[in-house]
Amino acid sequence: MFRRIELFFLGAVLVLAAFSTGQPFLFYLVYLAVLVVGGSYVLTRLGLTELEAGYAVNQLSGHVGERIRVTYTLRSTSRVPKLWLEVHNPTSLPAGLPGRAISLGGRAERSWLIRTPMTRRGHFRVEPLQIRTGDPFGFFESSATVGSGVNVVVYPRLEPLPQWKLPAANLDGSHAMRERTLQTTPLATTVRPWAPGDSFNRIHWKSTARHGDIQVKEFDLEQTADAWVILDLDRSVQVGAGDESTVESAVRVAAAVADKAILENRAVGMTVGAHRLAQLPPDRGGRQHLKIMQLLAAVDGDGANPLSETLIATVPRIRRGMTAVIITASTDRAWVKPLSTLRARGVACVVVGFDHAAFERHAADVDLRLHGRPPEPPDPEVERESQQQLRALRHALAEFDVTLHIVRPGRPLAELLVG
Amino acid sequence: MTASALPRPIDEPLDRIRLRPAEGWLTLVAVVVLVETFAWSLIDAAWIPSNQGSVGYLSFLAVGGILVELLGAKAGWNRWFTHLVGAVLAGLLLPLIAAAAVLGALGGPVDLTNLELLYRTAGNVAFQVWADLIRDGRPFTSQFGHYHLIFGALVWGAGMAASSAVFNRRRPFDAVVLVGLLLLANMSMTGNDQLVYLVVFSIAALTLLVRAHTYDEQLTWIRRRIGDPSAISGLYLTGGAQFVTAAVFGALVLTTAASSAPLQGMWTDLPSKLSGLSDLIQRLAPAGGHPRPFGAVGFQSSATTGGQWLPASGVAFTAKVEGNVTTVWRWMAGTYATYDGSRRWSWDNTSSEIRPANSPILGDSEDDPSLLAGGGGTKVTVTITPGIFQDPTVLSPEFVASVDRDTTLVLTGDRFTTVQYAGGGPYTITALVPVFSDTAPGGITQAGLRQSPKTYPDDISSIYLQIPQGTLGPNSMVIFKTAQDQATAAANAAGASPDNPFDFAQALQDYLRGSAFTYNTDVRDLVDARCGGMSSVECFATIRTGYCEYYASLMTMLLRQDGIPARIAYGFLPGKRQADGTETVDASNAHWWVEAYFAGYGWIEFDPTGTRGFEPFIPAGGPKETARPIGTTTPRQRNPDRNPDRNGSFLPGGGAGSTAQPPSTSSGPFAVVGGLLLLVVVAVVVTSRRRRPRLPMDPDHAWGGVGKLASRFGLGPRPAQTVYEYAGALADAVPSARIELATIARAKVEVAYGRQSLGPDRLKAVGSAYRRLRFAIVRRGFGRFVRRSR
Repeated sequence: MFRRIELFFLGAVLVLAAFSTGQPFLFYLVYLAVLVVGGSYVLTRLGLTELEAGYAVNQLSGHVGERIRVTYTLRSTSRVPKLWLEVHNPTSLPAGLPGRAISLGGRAERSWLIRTPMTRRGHFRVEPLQIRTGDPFGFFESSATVGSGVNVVVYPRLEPLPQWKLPAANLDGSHAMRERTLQTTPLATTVRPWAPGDSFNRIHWKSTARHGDIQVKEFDLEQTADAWVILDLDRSVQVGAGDESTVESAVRVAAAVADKAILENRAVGMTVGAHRLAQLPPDRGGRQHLKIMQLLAAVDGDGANPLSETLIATVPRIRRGMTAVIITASTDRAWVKPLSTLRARGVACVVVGFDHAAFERHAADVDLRLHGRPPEPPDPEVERESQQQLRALRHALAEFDVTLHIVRPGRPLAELLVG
Repeated sequence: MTASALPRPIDEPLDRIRLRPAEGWLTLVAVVVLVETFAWSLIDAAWIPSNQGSVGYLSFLAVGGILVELLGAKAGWNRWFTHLVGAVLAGLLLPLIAAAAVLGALGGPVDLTNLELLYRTAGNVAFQVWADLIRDGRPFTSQFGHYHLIFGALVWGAGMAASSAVFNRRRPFDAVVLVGLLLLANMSMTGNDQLVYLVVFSIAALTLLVRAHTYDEQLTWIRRRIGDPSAISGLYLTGGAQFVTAAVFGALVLTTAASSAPLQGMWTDLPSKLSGLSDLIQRLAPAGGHPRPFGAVGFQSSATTGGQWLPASGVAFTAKVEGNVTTVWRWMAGTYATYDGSRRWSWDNTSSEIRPANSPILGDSEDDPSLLAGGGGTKVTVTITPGIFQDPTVLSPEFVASVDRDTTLVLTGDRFTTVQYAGGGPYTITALVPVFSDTAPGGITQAGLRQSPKTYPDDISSIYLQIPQGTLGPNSMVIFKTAQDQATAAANAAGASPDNPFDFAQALQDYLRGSAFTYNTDVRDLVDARCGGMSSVECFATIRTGYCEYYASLMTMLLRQDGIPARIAYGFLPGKRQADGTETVDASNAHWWVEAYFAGYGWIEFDPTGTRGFEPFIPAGGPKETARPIGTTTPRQRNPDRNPDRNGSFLPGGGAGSTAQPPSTSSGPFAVVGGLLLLVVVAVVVTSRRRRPRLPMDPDHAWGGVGKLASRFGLGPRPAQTVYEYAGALADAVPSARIELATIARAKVEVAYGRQSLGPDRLKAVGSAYRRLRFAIVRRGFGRFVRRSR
């Protein structure tokens, strides 16, 4: 209601009246106004002077479930105390970085540690430190930005898969073959006598010398075969919400399978059918692990292409002897046929699928718990249809000797991905 | 059973009704204290005397008004609906309270269950007020119940307004300013020291602002996801409390150490400019309390006797008396004829006549000195040069004969009241000074006055013998009896009639000037302690301490009680006259005295104020003095050109004012300041109501405004610059507004080129950024100008 000009006019009248009459109550108001407004201004102006501030983040990446630690330090070199300082790092981290309001005495220092959990995978930004101060009445405000921002990458949660074994593809070197073998794995497990058709570059000369006849190396393809993870994030087949959605579960499965394979020293390649088709050529070691995790941190269930198209785009890059792991929430059998061509080319396949009905029920339960909205009673017809599709898929895959693992919400992957 | 009808699980607690306001209990307490200080201030001012009903209910009304708006805000009512509910509640409640106060004051039984009687009483009060002030055109009303209604509505409304501002509109500063202005207005008008209320008010106001800001910050923390908002309230309130304590303490210390009035002289001519407003306030104000004296030097159409008179300093005027005249006299400015039975003297039923320069002023009136024996006295010529007395009232010894300026003669009935001149500056008068001499022909003597019969013209009797009901009480009558006894003794000694008017007037004057009465300019404590509900006349007779207004009022009323027409005369006591005839009169010489009417002699001055007054010398005269002819007993034919005006508001160049205290300047124009503050409140409320709701700032408009303003300081956009380019260039020139520029530029691009419509939050952000940016550009522009000029 009162604008600045009106208040200014009132103040002028007050000052004029006070100096015209000399009345104590008018002078009291004048002095009070001067002290409050002037004091507020001075307090705000001095609030950020002679102040040193900084923050340090202990890690710029981590997996969901870990905690990030940020250390803040504020030091005042002024004798004037700071009545109120708001210290805050704006961030896109889901749990945020809690700010603090502190007061700082003259020539004092405050330091504190904040631990914030990484609750969701993704790429997040921690903005520069913002310090704000003002007066207790909100008349004036002053702020400053300290340092520079950092990016924090949160990888998917890694679940151990102690009983998970990639299915074996055909062993290179275990059979005499007429054509020149294209695959030479680095892990030679044994030697055997040379047979016609064996390539000369497989001859193990030391053993040949010892045995007196030609020995060739036999490779253990099961242990050394590359894996190619195909992650289907077609939005049309995803169900559920939050951490227990098919998208998040699929990403978790992909991360766990890739992690396990890399730990087994396999070369792992990856195709993600998300908003755009992302492919990582196979490789081994920590760098590949990091690449896979960064890719999985960024993807979302926003793909527009069905799995069959993803498979068609990926199949030419999968070499004989590899193992393809298809992770998809799709129960459409249309992609089984392209998959079968892999089998014919000596590529072992395993499919990880998702129980749609279970995910939908779980989402409804979460809704009830969080928002108090009673779940809609499940439609038996829909559930039955879902189960039928799952069974049909399993049957279709079984025709090509492809194993189907079903993931259900709320259960550890270690229990579900066995064998 | 539908899903929504599912039974609530037993272990789930029922939702509790939250009584706590979202803003916190401290906010509510602060608002209550805020409005209560205003109510306490009104109660302390005692505008309504205690015998006219207690006003203790104002405290409860303040709480009531606050709670209505709080309830509306919590219940989510529309603001106007809440106002309506509050107004209806007040409309039902206030008449009951006013009626109960009236009935209680009148000593009647107050049956609070008899609503019909209460409402009928309130209705009667309202009707009587209307009849007195509007229908009959009286300058005042004897009713007092309407003041209960007005003050009740004022406090209730203040409570509602403050509560609405805080809990509904989230603008606590509005509440502070609004209630603060009301408090200041009241403090400006009362003479009581109410600094303590202001201190309490300021503490509550600052606490409210701190708490409200804390609440805003908490909301900001939630909105910006900074952290736990409950963590900051302690810090804010602690820091705020320290700040408030230091500020209040510092202000008190500074107030005690350094208060002065260097601009005091500015107000010398204020009465003539703003006196109409002050007069209106005084006219409508209730009879109680200690109104702060209207300190500026000037006389108005009415005067209320407060409990304090603050003498002024400075030269009121300088008079140059022509000729070798050694006689000194009071400088009369005017007279009051009507007393309201409480504390107020005023002109009443006045009329005016224009007098050309140098024409006989009183020639057409019953006070025409030519009608008197001896022609009214010695003619003197005086040139008056106003000092701080800038009032347009003509000052003159007893009878002003002519003025060298066009004037307006004000008459009560057909008798002299005052003369106003236009234009200001020095003026020359010719006056007739009564000759008190037993040797000079036509001289006035005591013996002659004793012969004056108590037979008066009708217009004199009808006006100057009026004694309103309640004016005189037992203590006044004791003085009256004493004076009568002394008068009888004096008459007997002089061989005159024991009933002669002169001896009574003389005895009364002598008695009042005697040791039984004490002169004191500040009797507020005594009045508070002993004069509850009394008129100022009876009050003075009771406490026997006061200043000239009390003395003159008592003597005038007791003269009338004895059947002697009398009136108040106001003006100045004689100053210091030098050998060259120049007389300097200080403003502190302002004074009231008495004029009694003697048939055949006209108005004779008496001055009952003991240590301060100027006792007139009337020679004894010879024993053979005979009564003078008393003239006509019926008024002469009035000039048909006279301009009747009941309250003197016709005066050219002003002159009507709120009070006619003896002039003083030291206390300042409080009534006018109070009135101004009230006007500001009303103006702000009206303009805020008339002002259309502020529309969200349009980014296009904001961007255009920025460019236009910046162009005035040489920072305008180049024709080929894009929005972002110009924003960057301007940000380099005004670095402090870089963020605001980015905000407006982004909004401008989104709206103008992206065809997007922004949400209310964005528009609000654009608006506030625009205001900050304008300020920054102006500051930058003027800063550069100042640096250049250096």
